[in-house]
Amino acid sequence: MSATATQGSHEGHHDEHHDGHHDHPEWLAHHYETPRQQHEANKFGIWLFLAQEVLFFSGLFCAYTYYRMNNPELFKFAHHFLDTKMGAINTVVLIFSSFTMAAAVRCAQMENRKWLLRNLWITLGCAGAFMVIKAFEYSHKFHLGLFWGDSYDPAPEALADVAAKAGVAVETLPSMHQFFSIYYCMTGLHGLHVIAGMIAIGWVLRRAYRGDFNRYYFSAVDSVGLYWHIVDLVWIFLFPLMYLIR
Amino acid sequence: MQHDDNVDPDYDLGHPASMKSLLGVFGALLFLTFVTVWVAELHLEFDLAVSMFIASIKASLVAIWFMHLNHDSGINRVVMVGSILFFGLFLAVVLGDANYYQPDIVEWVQDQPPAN
Repeated sequence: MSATATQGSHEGHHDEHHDGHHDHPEWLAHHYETPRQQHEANKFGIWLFLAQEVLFFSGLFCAYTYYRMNNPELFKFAHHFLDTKMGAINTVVLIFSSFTMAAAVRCAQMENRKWLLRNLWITLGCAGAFMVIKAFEYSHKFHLGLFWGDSYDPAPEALADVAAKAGVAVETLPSMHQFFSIYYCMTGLHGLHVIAGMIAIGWVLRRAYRGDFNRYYFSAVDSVGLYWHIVDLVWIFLFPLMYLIR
Repeated sequence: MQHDDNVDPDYDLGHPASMKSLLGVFGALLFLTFVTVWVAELHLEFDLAVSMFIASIKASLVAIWFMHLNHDSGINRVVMVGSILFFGLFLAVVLGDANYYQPDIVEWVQDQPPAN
C-alpha cells in the first residue's frame, strides 16, 4: 500500500518486511484503524488502571485514618522515629523524577530521541536514589527493633531518644507497633510500586533505544509516565501523613 | 485510514506540553514541599488540614499538567475524578461505620478480663 498520511515521514517504520500482516506500520496494532484510535484506547485503559491504583491505596489511607483517629497520641509520639529530612529529600527526588518523566513524554511526542533517553535515564536514576534512601531508613529502623505488630521491640536508646524529643518520661510512651504496621504497609507497598516503575521505565528505555517511538506512537512512554506520576501522587500524601505529624 | 486532504488528523496526538509549563509546575511543587515542611514546624492546631490542603494542590498540579488532564478526553477526567470521589465515599462510610460502633467496641473491651 502506498504510504498514507499517518505513516508520514517515518521511513523504517513501514511494514513492507512485515509480510504476514496487513497494511499497517509496525507501531500500529492491526486492530486499530488510526493512530488516534490506538492512542485514545491506550489512554483510556491506563486511566482505568490508575483509578484502580487510587482505590487500591485508598484502603490503606482509610486504615491510616481509622488508626490515627483512634490513637492520635500514638502518631504524635511515633513521628519522632522518622527523619523529616530524609522524607523531604525523597519527596524532592520523586518530584524531580516526575518532572523528567513528563519531559520524557514530551520528547517522545516531539521525536527528540536524545533527550528522551536522557530524561528516562534521569528518571530511573531518581527512582533508584529514592529506594536507596528508603533502604537506609528501613535498615536504621530494623536496627533499632522498630518492627510491625508483635515484632515491635524497640531498643531502649531509641525510646529514650523519642521520649526526650516528645518531652515525656520513657515509661509513659505507649507501644507504637500499630504505627509501624501501617507505616511499613503504606511505604512498603509504595516502594514496591517504585520498583515496578523502575522495571517499566527500563522496558521503555530499551524500546526508546530501539527507536520504537514517534509522534504517532508514544503510548508506552505516555502510559509508564502516567503510572509514574501516580506513584509520585501517593508519596505527596504519604510524606505529610507520616513525617509531618506534629 | 486514507486521508485525502493535506491535514493529518493524527499529527498532533499528544499536545506536547510546553517546557515552560513543566518547569513552572516543578518549581511550584518544590515550593509547596518547602511550605508544607515549614508549616509543620509551626505546630499549628490544624496542621493536618493545612498539610492535606497543600498536598491536594500538589496532586492537582501533577494530575492537570504532568498527567496532561488539561488536554485529555472527558472520559479520562471522569475516571480520575470519579476514583477520587469513590475514595471519599469509602472513607466516609468507613469512618461513619467506625463511629457508629465505637461505643459497642469500648464496652466490649471493658468487659474483657484484664490481661496479665
